[in-house]
Parts: sequence; C-alpha cells; structure tokens
Amino acid sequence: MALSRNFGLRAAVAALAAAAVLAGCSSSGQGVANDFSRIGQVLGQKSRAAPRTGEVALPTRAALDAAPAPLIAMVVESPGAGALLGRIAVNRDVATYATADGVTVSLRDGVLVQTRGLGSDLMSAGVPTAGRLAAGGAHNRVHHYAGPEDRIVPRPFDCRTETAGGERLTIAGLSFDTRIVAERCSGADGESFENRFWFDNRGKIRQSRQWVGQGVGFVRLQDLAR
Amino acid sequence: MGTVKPMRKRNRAIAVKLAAATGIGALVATQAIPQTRPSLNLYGGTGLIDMPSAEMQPDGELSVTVGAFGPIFRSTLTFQMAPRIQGSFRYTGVRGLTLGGFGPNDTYYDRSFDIRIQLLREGRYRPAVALGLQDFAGTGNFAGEYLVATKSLVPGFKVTGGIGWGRFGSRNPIGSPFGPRPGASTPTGGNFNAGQWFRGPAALFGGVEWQVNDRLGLKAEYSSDAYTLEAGAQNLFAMNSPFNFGAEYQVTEAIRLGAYYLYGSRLGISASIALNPKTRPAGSVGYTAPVPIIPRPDRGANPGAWSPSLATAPGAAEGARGRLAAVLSADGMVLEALALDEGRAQLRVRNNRYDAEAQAIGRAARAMAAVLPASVEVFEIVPVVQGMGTSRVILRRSDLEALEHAPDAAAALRARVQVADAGPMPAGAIRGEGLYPRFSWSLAPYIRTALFDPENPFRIDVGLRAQAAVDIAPGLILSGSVTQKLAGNLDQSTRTGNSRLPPVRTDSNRYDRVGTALERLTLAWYARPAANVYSRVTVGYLERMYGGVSAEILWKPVDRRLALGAEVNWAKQRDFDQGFGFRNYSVATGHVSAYYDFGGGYLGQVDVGRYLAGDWGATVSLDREFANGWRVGAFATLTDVPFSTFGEGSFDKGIRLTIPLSGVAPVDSRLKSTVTLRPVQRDGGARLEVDGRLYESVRDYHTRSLDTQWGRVWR
Repeated sequence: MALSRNFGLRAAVAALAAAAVLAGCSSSGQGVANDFSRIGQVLGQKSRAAPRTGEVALPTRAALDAAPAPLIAMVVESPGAGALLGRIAVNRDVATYATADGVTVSLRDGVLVQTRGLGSDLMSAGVPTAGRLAAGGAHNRVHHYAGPEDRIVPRPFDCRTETAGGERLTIAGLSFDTRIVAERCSGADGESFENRFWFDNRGKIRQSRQWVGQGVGFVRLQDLAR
Repeated sequence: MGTVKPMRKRNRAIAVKLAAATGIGALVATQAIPQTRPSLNLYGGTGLIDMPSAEMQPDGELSVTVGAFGPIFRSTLTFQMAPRIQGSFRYTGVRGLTLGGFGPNDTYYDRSFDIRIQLLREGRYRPAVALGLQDFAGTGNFAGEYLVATKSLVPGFKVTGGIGWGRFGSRNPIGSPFGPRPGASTPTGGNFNAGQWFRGPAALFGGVEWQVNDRLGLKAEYSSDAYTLEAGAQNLFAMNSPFNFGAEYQVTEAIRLGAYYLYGSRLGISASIALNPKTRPAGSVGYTAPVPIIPRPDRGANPGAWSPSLATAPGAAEGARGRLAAVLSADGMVLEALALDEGRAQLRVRNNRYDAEAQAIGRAARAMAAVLPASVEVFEIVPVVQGMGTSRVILRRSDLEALEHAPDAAAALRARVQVADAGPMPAGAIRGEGLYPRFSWSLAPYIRTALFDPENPFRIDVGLRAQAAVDIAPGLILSGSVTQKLAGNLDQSTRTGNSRLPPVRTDSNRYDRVGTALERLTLAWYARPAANVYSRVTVGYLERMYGGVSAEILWKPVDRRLALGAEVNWAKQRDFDQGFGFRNYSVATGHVSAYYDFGGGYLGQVDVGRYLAGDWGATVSLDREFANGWRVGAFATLTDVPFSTFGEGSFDKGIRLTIPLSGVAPVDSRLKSTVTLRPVQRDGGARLEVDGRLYESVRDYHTRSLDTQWGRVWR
C-alpha cells in the first residue's frame, strides 16, 4: 500500500487538497480544510524520510507544533506500511485524517469508525465511546463492510473491556503515563479480535491498536498532537 | 462519445494507484484460501467424471471447463443462473467421427445447451436431487436426461447415484419406463427435442467423490454412457470398462485441474476456471478515499457564512460552478450544468468513472457539500447520459452531515433520499464551461473473433481502433470509428452463404477481408421529449454491415419495473469494402419492446417486430445482472421463417456475457465488454446493431439499479 512511500501521488493529493482548499473558500470560517494543502507538503517531506520497516519516522516536536493541522501516525500491521496523516475535516465529534495517497481514517475521540482507500474498508461502525472503553465492562459493537454484490454486511460483536496494565509512552518528545485498556470482541461466526487503547491521565487515547476487518487486519495509531 | 478522452486520462491515474495498492493487493491475495465447492465433470457441469451429480455451484458462479479424453474434447461455459438452476453452453469436438457431413479425417464439431434443476436440497438424511437435460436443443447427438441424487456421508465424502436416458441410458438399460425414444424433432437441429426427453432405454449410474484435503479430490464412477456411436459403431476408442477414476487438484480458489483414466483405455484431463460475479474478483482495492463531508459552520457563531447572498449574488453561481467542476473532475466527473439558488442547488453531472452509479452520486454529493454556500440545504443530483438527464437524486445536506459517520450510514441515508424523474433543466441553470463543442478521441486495440466454423472453430483478428467524437450540443453527438487490422485470420473464411433468405448476416465474413475499415460514423440526437420519456435518432453508418436511419423512443419511469419502447429503422447493406458505398439490399426494420425488471438482478425483455431479412417475429431475452456489472443472459428469436428455410439451428438463439473492467481489475471504470455466443449465425431473426440504445443508457441511474449498489454511496 505504500502509505509511507507513495507520497508522489499528486493526483490524489491534489484531489483532496483542492477539495479542502475550495471548501475553505465557500464556507469561510472552516479553516481546518484550508490547511490541508500545506499538510500535503508536510506529509510529503516527512514521508520521504520514512523507513520501510513499517514504523513511521516521526517529525520533530517543533515540526509537529508548527504543522498547520493535527497529525496522527498510522501503521497497517500486515504489510507493515506506515504513514503520517493530517486532519482534513471535523464533522461533529468525528475527525477524518488523510494520507497523501488517498487513504482516510475517521476517529471519534480516537476510536476508529471508518476507513477509506484501504480496500476492504470499515464502511461504518457502531462503536463504544472512549469514555465507555475507559470505564470497562461489556458492550456491543457492529462493523459494516461492503460485501458481495455491493451490499453492506453488518458484523456484530460482543465485547468486554478491562485494564491490561500501564505504560509510560513517549511520542515525538512528549511523555505520558498511560493505562492500557484491552477490548476483547468476538462475533457470531468466530471472528474475534482484541483492540488496545493507551489512555493518558486526562482520559485521552494517545495510542491504539484497532481491528479494521478481515481484509486489512490491525492498524496502530498514535496521536501526535500535544 | 464524449467519455472517451477522460478515460484515457484515467488510465494513468489507475496505473499510479495500482502501484500504490500493490502492498494491500498482496495482503488480500494471501487470504485467498481454496474453497471446496462442488466439483465439475468433463462436461463442465457439477458432477463426477463423465457423469453428473445432484449438487449445484454457488449462486452466480461462472465457470469455463476444458475436458478431453481420447478423441473427444469439450469446452463448456456453465452459469449458476439461480441457486437451483444451472445452465451450460458447450462446444464439443470428436476427432474422426463420421456424422452430419463430417468424414473420418475431420473433427466433428457440435454446440449444445444443458440445463440442470435441483429439485431437493440436501438435508440431514435426505440427499440432494437434481433433474438434468443435456444437449436439449441441439442436434441431439449428445443428448441425455437424468435424475440424480447426491449425499455427503462424512465431511468431504459424497456418494452419487442416478438414472439416465439417451446417452446416459446406453449401458445395460433396465428398460424403457416412458416408452421408445423417437428421433430428433427437427432435421436442421437446434430445436427443443422435447419428444425425446426421458424416452427410450434407461440405465443406472453412480460414483463416489472424496475431497482428501483443501486441494486434492479423488473420484470414481460407474458410467452408464456406452459411447455406442464413438466407441461402438465407429471404434474411435476402446470401451474396456464402465469404470472411471480420477484425481483433481485445486490450484487456486479459481482453478482446478484433473487427470482421469476412463473406460479402461484412455487418459483424460480437465481444467476449469471459476469465478463468482457476486464478489469483486480483484478485492476492490485501488480506489482513492472520497472527500469527507465538510460540515457547515455553526449558524449562530458564523451568520455571515449562511448569508443567502453567497448563493444569489451576481457571479455566485459562476464561482460555485468553477469550484465544483474542479472537485468533480478529480473524481472523473464532468459538471454539465449547475442551478443555484438560496436553499437549493441542482447539479447535472456526467459520471465517466464509477461503475457503481451510487458511488458517483455519493461523490457528487460530497463535492457539493464541500463547495456550496451554507444556505443551500437541498441537493439535487441529475446524472446526465448522452445529454439526457436520467434521474434526479434529492438529498438534504443536513442528512449528509448527520449520517456520514452513523452506523450503517448507507441504509440510513437511503431512507432519506428521493429519486425522481430528472425533469427539465431549471430556469437559470448555467452550463459547464468548454463542453460544447468538444472534441475527443481514443486509440485502442480491438479483438474480433469468429467462432464455430467447422473448418477452423476459432478465428481471430487483432488491430487498432481509432474513435473520435464531437459533442456538438447537449445530446447531439457526431462520432465514428475506424479499424486497422494488424494480424489475424478472419479473412481466411471462405464459407459462402447457402441461405434461402436475403444474406443479411451470413455473408459477414466478406466484411473481414479489408485491412482498413470505416466501422461506424453517425450523428446521434438524444432528447427528453416529456417526463419519463427518452428519444434517440441516429443517422449514418450504424454498424459494419448497415447504414441508415434509426429512431427510438422509450418510456421508463425511474421507479417502475416496466418500461416500454419502440424503434424504427431504415437500413441499407454496406459495401463489403467497408468504405462509404452501399449494396442494393435495404429494409425497414423495427420493434416494439417491453422491458421488465423482475428484481434480484433478473431482467426480461420482449421485442416484437420486423427483422433484417424482412421476417416478422419476436425475441425473448432473460439476463441476470450483478451489482458490479457482470451480466449473463440468453435470448431466442422466433420469426415467420420456417425452420427448414432458416437452416442449421432452426431459429436464432444465443447467450451473452458482459464483463466490466472493474469486475476483473481493481480499478474504477465504466468500461465493459460484451460477448455474444450463438451456436450458429443465420439470417432469420437478425437485428440491426445500433450504438446507444436507450434502455441500457438510462437504466443505470434509476431507482432499482441505484439500490442494488447503494452500499457504495459513501465510498
């Protein structure tokens, strides 16, 4: 997938960037999208230096602070491809982040609700809030995928969360004491997965490992904002 | 065709995206594990080795099987038309068989159709039971009927037993329960030989199949086919034993190979490739994420952004048009027109990229949400095909904003979307810039084949096709194509027509003898004369063999199953040299048509009228279309031409297969290719070929078609 390498996909960048820039023009006051043209450049430069190991080479803290929009780092585990993503839209409580080559992920307070451009995408999802995950206990999840004949196929899961230790995380020069929450889910047809969320002491998800689906597998996400 | 040039540009983007997608492609590929679905026999139907079984393939499964043993080879296309109905079309060759004008030094060729119906599904104790008709409408030389049962005893181990008639009743018959078997009904073949079915001697057959593991399967059977003609009368191979044995290996999920020992004397091999159009074979990778919904600012916090004047001020529409066109063009779409007022906007748009029309609607809606002033709440999207508005999809912007990240967002949005007739263009709409006149062109390779000529059953030409089009005004299109043959052997066909009708199609091979051909040159005018009504007039060199005038009208409400149409043509046969000249034959031909959408992708059509040879009659077609554009269908035409005058095959019939590029490669594209297979092409029941017939042009954006792939609206 070359999340990290193929920043040269000018067409895709241009598409997203153009849309975002234009959005800025028409609905004045929405500066978020307007910044994406510059994020494209940031992502490109930083991606160039990314190693091919599947880890994302993070920019310096100073560069991150100067970035025109919040960034996250994402690694798709199975092919081991990583990339920086910049936030290109916020719709209500969901933020959408994009790579330079036309992959987006949408997060509600750090919890994955959609992906696009990964192939077997998570088309939509009914997921617990970050607060619910942090509180622990049992809950339901439903993931919606594009199935045969372009039908949307729901996959319901029964899940339980519990604390699975703590860890002192250092992300791009910032350190956080985190509590690790493990969310174990199993579906009717035997599909099961375990998501992990690293909550800082303000209840914010700083890092996570989340299940996209059977086609894509797990992604690892790091929030690079302050 | 105005779509040509944008597609060329697309290809580069596809190549880039493909390169980017390889990592994920590899990921998907590793997940493909061979599945054990019921295996196929040497006839290409579900079965053992030479005998059938009672199992069915998964619904929609398409397979091509090549099987051979001794002097016999068979290639078969099998389609699981419905969960319990399987159909096959087969081309059989028998080396040295003296029959029907073929001598001992020839290879005898024949085409045949089969149909198999599963009467009972397998239960816990009950076996699956199927009834089959083999070669039920051909010469009858390979005809056989059977009733067969199959039961899985333990996982991977199945037992099959049945009773057969015809070929399948030729070894050790147990009697003729339904009386003697008459001869085939029609000397010219090709008719349903219903009088023969289940008549004559009946015999028992059976066998076992053991799927050892995911990949290896073993089979053994007792065959009730004595090959009375081939092995008995003509001694083409030795019939030493009724028992056959085989081993099959599943190479990939799609490909299965087999090796066999048949009738105690001959080795056999088979190869089958199968795919299911219900899935997107390439794993649907390789598309770029859509633009997110850009929500409007809060009205209280930013009242300026909500000012109606942003939509109504002089120049506002022109500005919005430019920004919208730019966003749409990144998605391969063309802004045809925009009407903008304070609370409502209508976008007329051409989709040159997405095979899933709902996806195009979704992308257009996202573009509107990203660009239009905040006061615009209602979005109307009118997909335009050949200048005609085909439907009007009405969405509320606040629904887009609210539902973008909702669970099952597609169904939630569909509940709030209306689809209506496109209606006229609103007053005050402004057209896209630089659309008329607009010139476009393309250059692409082409392949032309001629099948089933006994002298050479597979002839092929390859060459280049140059196409050009001028969009003169909305709906008015001048277009043409020229082909240049590069290599091939179509010109070696020396078959001369023996038709007792005007040779309206049988001399088609005479058009294959020129290198450079004017394939088509037409002026077409498409319009919407009234609500739910579409019209077309095409003048010029309509197809390789005919020029003339074609006029068509179609009534098709967006949300109805039924559509009605009429077409009248005056056609004159073109010169064999594929230039501008004509021959003497001309004909007035035309049809009234009824189209019916049965649901579930099954589409029926009846055309009644006058055909190219001046014969009167009707064509019945039934197609199954899958959400991703794959389509398999069959058609038959009966006219007032007697079977004896029609000649070989008795009446016109065939099957057709449409393959979308996006169904075989991970790309977004509307390109598709249709292959029509006729057992034999004669002159009765022949129709004029005209580009851009209305029903298929406009149907894609109507309610039923949109709903089948609505799952892609947020994609």
